[in-house]
Amino acid sequence: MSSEKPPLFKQTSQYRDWRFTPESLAQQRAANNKKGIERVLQGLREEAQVDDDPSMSETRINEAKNNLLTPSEELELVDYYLQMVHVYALTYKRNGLLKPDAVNNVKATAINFIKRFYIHNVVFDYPPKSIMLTCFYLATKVENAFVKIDDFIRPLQSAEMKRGGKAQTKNEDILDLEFVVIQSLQFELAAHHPYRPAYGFYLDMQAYIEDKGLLKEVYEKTQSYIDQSLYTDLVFFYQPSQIALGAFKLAAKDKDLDIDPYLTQCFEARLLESLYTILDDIQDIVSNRNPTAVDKAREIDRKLILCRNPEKNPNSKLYKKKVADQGEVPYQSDSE
Amino acid sequence: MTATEAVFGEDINKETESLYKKQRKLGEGTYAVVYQGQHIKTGRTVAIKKIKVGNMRSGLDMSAIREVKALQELRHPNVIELVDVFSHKTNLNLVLEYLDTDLEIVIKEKNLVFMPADIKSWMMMALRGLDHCHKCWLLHRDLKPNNLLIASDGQLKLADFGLARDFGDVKRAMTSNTVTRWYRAPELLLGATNYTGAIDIWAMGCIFAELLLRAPYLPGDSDIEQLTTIFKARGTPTEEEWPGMSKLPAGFKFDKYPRPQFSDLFQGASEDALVLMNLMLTFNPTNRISAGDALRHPYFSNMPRPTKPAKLSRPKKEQAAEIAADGEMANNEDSRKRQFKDAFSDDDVFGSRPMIAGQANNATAAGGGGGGGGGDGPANKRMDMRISSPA
Amino acid sequence: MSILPTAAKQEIPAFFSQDDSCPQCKSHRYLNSSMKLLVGPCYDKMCEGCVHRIFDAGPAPCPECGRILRKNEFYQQVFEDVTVENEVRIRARMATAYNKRQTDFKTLKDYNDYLEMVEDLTMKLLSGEDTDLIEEIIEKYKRENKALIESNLTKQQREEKIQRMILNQEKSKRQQMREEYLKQLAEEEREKTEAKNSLINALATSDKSAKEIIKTRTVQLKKSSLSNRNSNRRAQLEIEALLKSATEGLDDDDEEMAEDVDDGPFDPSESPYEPAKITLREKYDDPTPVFRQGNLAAAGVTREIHYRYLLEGAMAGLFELPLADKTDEASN
Repeated sequence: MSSEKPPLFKQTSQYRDWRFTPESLAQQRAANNKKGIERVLQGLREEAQVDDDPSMSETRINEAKNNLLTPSEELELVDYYLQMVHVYALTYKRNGLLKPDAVNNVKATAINFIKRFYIHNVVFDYPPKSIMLTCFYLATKVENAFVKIDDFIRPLQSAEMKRGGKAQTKNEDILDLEFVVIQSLQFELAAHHPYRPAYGFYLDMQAYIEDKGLLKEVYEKTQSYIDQSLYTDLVFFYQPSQIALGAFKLAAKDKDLDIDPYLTQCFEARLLESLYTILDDIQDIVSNRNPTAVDKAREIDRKLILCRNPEKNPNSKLYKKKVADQGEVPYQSDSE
Repeated sequence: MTATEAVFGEDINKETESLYKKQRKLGEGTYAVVYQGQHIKTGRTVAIKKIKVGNMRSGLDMSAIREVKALQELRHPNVIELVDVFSHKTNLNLVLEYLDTDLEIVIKEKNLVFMPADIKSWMMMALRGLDHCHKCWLLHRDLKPNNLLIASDGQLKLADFGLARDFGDVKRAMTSNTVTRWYRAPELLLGATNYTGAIDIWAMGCIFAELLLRAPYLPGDSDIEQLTTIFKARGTPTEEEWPGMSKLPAGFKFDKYPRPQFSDLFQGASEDALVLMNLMLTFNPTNRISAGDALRHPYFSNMPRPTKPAKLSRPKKEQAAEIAADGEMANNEDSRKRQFKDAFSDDDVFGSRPMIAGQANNATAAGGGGGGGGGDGPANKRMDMRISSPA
Repeated sequence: MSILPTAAKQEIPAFFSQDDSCPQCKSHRYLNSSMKLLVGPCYDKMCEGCVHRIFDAGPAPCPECGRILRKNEFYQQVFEDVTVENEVRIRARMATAYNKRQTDFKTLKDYNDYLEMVEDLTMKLLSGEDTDLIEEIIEKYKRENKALIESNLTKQQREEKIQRMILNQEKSKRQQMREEYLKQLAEEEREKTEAKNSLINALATSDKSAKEIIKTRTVQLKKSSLSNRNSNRRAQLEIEALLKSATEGLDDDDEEMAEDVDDGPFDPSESPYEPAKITLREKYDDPTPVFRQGNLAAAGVTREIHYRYLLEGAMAGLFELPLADKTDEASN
């Protein structure tokens, strides 16, 4: 009698709703990008009608058309801000707002949220910088590392002032986006990361690997490979335990440790067959990751300013008009 | 091959919202309003819990986040089903399965008679739901009869996950200020900042006792008093019995009470029931029985068999409404007094849970942000039960 | 001195005949039964001793045809037909260098082009024309694709190892199951006969009423493993049927019993999910020092819980396959 009962991990929202193939993911992003561009042009045309200066509008529309972002440019821009999550995490840790033991989870959840967000959105509507901050803030709540909004804003403002400007980021900039973000996450907030399985593997391997000191070094190296894996799309293709093991293999290769004896002694050969292929792919993708450089990000950001969708831009005339039409208090913001 | 269509978050949300229509209000509190609703296409009755977010200084309320996060991951016949979630303007709407009564109402309803087999059935369903949560490494942290809802087919379901959080990562500290006082485990009262499912089991033990006594078992008047109440009822534990007890933050000296003869108070309870109850109310959390082991205890496989859910006694609709109304009236005045302030504590994540709201919600529909299940005393006694917001 | 790698592993016997004799030294198998006749790429034969004698110092012309050969080009004949032998050898050598897989190519066409290229080279080698040139091409290819060849080789070795392990594991599993089954069968038989006998005995010897005896004789079959539950259940039903037929016509107080039987097997801890499977050991070298303080254990947070949490995380979904694309488009 075979057990037809599903294992617990299949009930997680991550498994049920956030798995893709590389192709389906690419197709979704391409379709969103196409639709997003349509909406930008539509929004600019609508704004032209609200605007007093028709010639300006023509120029704006043309400028936008010449600076539209491709799906891969969208990805590159988002990737840059994903890297920023790490920087912010360290800042908050330094300021004592984030406990060291919570850093990995908050960081990984924030990155995961941002990536998921852009499976259901385009940067034309929501530029990644603000989304990144909101996802980070949401992650501190979700991962039981809550920071009060005033405390959260303070380091951001002091950094802005240090750069010689005024304190621009306000509470509303982050809080107003909370709903947009959580909607795009389909209200599914539990994200699972490779850190826990990696620790588990480290313990399990001890009975099979002779050199305990080397194994410990390998485990420590694994952490950085896991950090790298977060930026890739691996979390949408494979399970966290598989990614952890792939990271372990990469670290083991660096330190000249063979963890194959562990695998072959612990698991059935039939299962290992497909696992090896998966692990190869994971190692491949992590090693070949290409982080976006700051110049490229700036370049894309500049293009984005020209092709941002006015319908979703709180500073645009169109947005303000729509809000006024609905009879609500218009959103006033001095920030960019 | 069909071309992939663009999918945007706001569109998904609008579509979800359009699937349901609100019908009538079931209850209201400062935290949420609960409506009875319907899935337009299938006609399925649901409860729609609208959580008001607008007046929170720090944005989305922790309680709402905890509840949504937990329920999305749990699918079990004895855990309330989160059917859908959508947001409307600045409100979060949880579409939950519709459950019209709860264990508190059942216990209080004088006209209802229950048999040992009934108690066994409720305990079994509650423990199954809890076991599932613990297997998913989730603590409920607010178990009480009020939060054990009962469906029309008799199935009992855990509800109100507004205090739930995951456990297992020993490096992450947690707040000890959790669980409604009468059901709070001793290690929490002694200030433990990391704990396990044992705290939920303690609450289950209290619920078990309450089912047997038809009255709350350990009703302390304040947090300090609660420990004394426990020790008087169960005897003061020794360091031998509970090693490390003195190492817990608040582990100061207590009066020594003797361990009483439980069969005196729990007359009519079968021996195996008492044994299991005592295992659930063991002081040392390491030795306290787990949910899985409790289900495997002979109590559940011994005769009598647990009553089949459909045959369990349940209150009539009018009686339920009466009890609910009592609760609401006592609370409304107090809720007006309490300001909704930002009461998140400094270094942990215990969000300010408006303990007032939801008494009515719980009585008639799926879990609101429930306050304490009070005893039969005067209104002010009920108010004392709430967890005081951290200063 | 066989160069065929796979031949060595499979232990294919070398080809030989009783009439073998070395054309160089004229030694005959009749006189030297362990004489090894080797063949060169030019299909000329000579015994192992002569090969050593002539080619130990380095490349030298073949005494028969004059072609310059090296010692390691001589091999032991496996096939009767020397040309087959040669071809097999050459193809095996090519395969060690040209071991790319379809997945290494972007399109199917690229892979096919590669295969054709390899076949062209092989044909040239077989025909013997431009052998030096071809060898150079092969060497160049080996240099340029060193990394890929190595990794594909590792993959291949791994796959072979896994295949062997699979076969072994399945064999032992089948054996185990068979033993289990036979054991179970015997157990069942024994229990059935035992229960029947004791019941019949009691009915025959005791002076209580038949109904009483049957009531008190609750059949308690041994609580063995879950897999035995089914056979126990069957046995139990058989005995209950026996009891029922024995009590037929006695008394109609069967209602109580009927209800118990009606409820059937009942598992209070039944769950819709499969439990997690991990191996928990006593001691681990654990980088988390938290347990040094006493207050964790006092609140019930034991090392066991900590390890269980981590190990379950490691095993969750470890063998889950990724989603597959719905339409597999062959790019032809």
